[in-house]
Amino acid sequence: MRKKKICMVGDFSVGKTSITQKFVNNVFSEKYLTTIGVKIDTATVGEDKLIVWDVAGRDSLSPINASYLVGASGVILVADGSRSSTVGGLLEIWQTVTNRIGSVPVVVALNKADLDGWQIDDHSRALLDQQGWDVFATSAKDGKNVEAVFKKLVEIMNCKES
Amino acid sequence: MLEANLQQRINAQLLDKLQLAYICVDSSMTVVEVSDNLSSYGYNDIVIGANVEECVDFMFGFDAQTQLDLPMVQSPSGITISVSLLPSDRLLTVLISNASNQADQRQLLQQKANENELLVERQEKLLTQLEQASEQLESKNEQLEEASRLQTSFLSGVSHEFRTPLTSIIGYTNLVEQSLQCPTDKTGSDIQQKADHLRAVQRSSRHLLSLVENLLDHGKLDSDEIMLRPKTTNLVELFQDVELLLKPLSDAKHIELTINLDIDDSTIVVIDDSRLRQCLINLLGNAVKFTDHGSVSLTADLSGDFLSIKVADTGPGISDEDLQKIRLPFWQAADTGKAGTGLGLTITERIIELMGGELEVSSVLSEGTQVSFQIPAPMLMDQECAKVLNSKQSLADMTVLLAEDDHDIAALMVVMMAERGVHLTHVENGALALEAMQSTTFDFVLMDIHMPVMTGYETLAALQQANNSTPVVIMSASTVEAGRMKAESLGCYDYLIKPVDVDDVIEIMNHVALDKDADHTC
Amino acid sequence: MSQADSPQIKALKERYRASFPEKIELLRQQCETIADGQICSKQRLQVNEELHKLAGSSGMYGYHEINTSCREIMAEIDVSDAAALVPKITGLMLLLERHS
Repeated sequence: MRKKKICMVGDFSVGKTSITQKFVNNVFSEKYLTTIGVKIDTATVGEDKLIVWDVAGRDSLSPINASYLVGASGVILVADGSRSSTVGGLLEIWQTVTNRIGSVPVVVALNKADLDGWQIDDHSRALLDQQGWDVFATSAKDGKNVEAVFKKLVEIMNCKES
Repeated sequence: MLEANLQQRINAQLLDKLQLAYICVDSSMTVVEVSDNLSSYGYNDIVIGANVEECVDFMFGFDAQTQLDLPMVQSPSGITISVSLLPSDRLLTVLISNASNQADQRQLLQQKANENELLVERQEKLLTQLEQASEQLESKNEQLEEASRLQTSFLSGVSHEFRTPLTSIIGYTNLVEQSLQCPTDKTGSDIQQKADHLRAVQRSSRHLLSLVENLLDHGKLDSDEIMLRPKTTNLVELFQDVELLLKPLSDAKHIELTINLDIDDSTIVVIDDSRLRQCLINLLGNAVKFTDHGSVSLTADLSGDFLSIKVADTGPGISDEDLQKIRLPFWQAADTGKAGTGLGLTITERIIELMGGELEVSSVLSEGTQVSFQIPAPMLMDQECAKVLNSKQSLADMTVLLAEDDHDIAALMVVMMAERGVHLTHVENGALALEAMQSTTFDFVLMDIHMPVMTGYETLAALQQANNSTPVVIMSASTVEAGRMKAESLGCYDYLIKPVDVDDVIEIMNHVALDKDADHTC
Repeated sequence: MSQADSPQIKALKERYRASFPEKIELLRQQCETIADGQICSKQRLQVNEELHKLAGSSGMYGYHEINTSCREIMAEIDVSDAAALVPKITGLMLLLERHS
């Protein structure tokens, strides 16, 4: 079984831990508990064993700790579709990623798609389109597109390897 | 054994105090040495000779040269650890320390900070929404104020319009009353004067009446109560009617009134003739009223099922500024001195809209004014026209039932219809009508509403229930609109108000005959 | 109906006009029943019934004044008291009288 390290990165409170927990353990909690440092979980996608680094979110005081990214072969950029600032923040976070580990395979999860009034504004949409990223509207709550995000990333990583 | 240089860096005491644990791996990432306390962090299966990337999840992806600090990693035991990768010449040492206190403190602080920030973000969002809502409210408020202002000006317009004729009526009746109280002078001139006064009262009353009628129309238009009732109409006849009506007015002012029609005499269209007539009278009446010299002309043509009408006059014209206002209720040019209700054009414009057209007004000061509009007027095919025009024949073949309890009315209807070639079977109430309709098939039924035993409404309901679709035309002495609506909801074909004009009945029968033919050809 | 009437119509009209005294008598009876003060709803209904009939037929026979007078009284019948109604009905009777 091939092993791969991937990182969940994004602003605080966008649902990185929720997506990871939904994917790995199929659980969801409404309660917000901020992640300190990093949580590491494993999951299997097809022939691949993923080591998922659920990295503490970026906030106004602390940037992403890039040390956690070392050795990762892909990242999932997570934003909250109902907070457009977190979508815009993805660009800076991606900069942090590429500075440290280069342009690795990436997919974007726009989370909390289950919320009323969840809508990506045109500016954010253009910004994502410009990057050429694969974007998924996900909901850790009802599981929408959660598996798809991970599968897509694995697909891109495998494609890059071969 | 720990390597000597490391032994120097970490003395055993500190190692114990900090609950330090370690793993040493060689250049191929194979475990060569581990501390005993590793299992306290949940790393139980790390054996010498194993590949560290296989047995320690956080080590995957690193090589022996990696120098890295990984603060606050959650270990399998749940305890938060800090990890330092310290490469040397031959070995990589992975130092693990307990960071749970630090993590707990950080957790508290970070949680609060993040929650605060979320709160601020939410507040900002709410504030924006609040601002938007308040902007919307403000604009709504402005709209309401505008509506209320319009209503107030409408009401003051109405009051003003009523005041003038009422004042005149009161004034003249006072004069008449006074002259009756002192009947000393009975000369011819006195009688002449009284007659003049009474005529003035009549004029004002008629004006009031037309004002009330216009107001009612206006109100109905506002509440969408005016329904169009299109029927087959000979356009040329309609225009001739209108010309006859307005000719005395234009003659009195020595103005030339011309009607130019590019329409064939036999053209039949489907249109609400009474509403169209109302619009034409209004527009032509206006033109004649405001024109003191020259002419007023109406031009009409019909092409592609659209009727285009243009009314032009050689009146004083309307300034650009006033053109903006002429469509407002009660607006009247200040200096013309012409009497009017100020509702005519508003109503005309809205009826034309209802008929699917748009009233356009253009004007040049001291040259004249042109108003024009175009409305759908579906033309009947030649053969259908022929049918309408030659329908007398087919009417004679129709079987018609009359349900009417008043013998005087029934007798008159029977004779008058017979003079038009139509034979009526007469019954005295709804129950008898139903009975007759069971034994004979009628093409057409004329029915009174107010009848003993079974009323017209009850009869319509019974027919509806029995799925009997014989066209029933109601004749009612009631002018209340609710009566018409009730009868229509019960499926009546048409609704006539007494006194009924038999020619209207004939026209409706023509319709029925046409519909019937259309059904047969389908 | 202003054009030359056929003999049949003329006869009908004559018959209708001849029924005026009968109609006046009916109205007089109605007046009597309500003249002594209070009118109950049943009486109002009866009066309305008579007026409704008269309105319909008089209009058809071209007596527009009578038709209008009937309608005017009908419009007020629910809100007028006997003191107001009786003079109006009397006025209508006079109209009929004049035409008969």
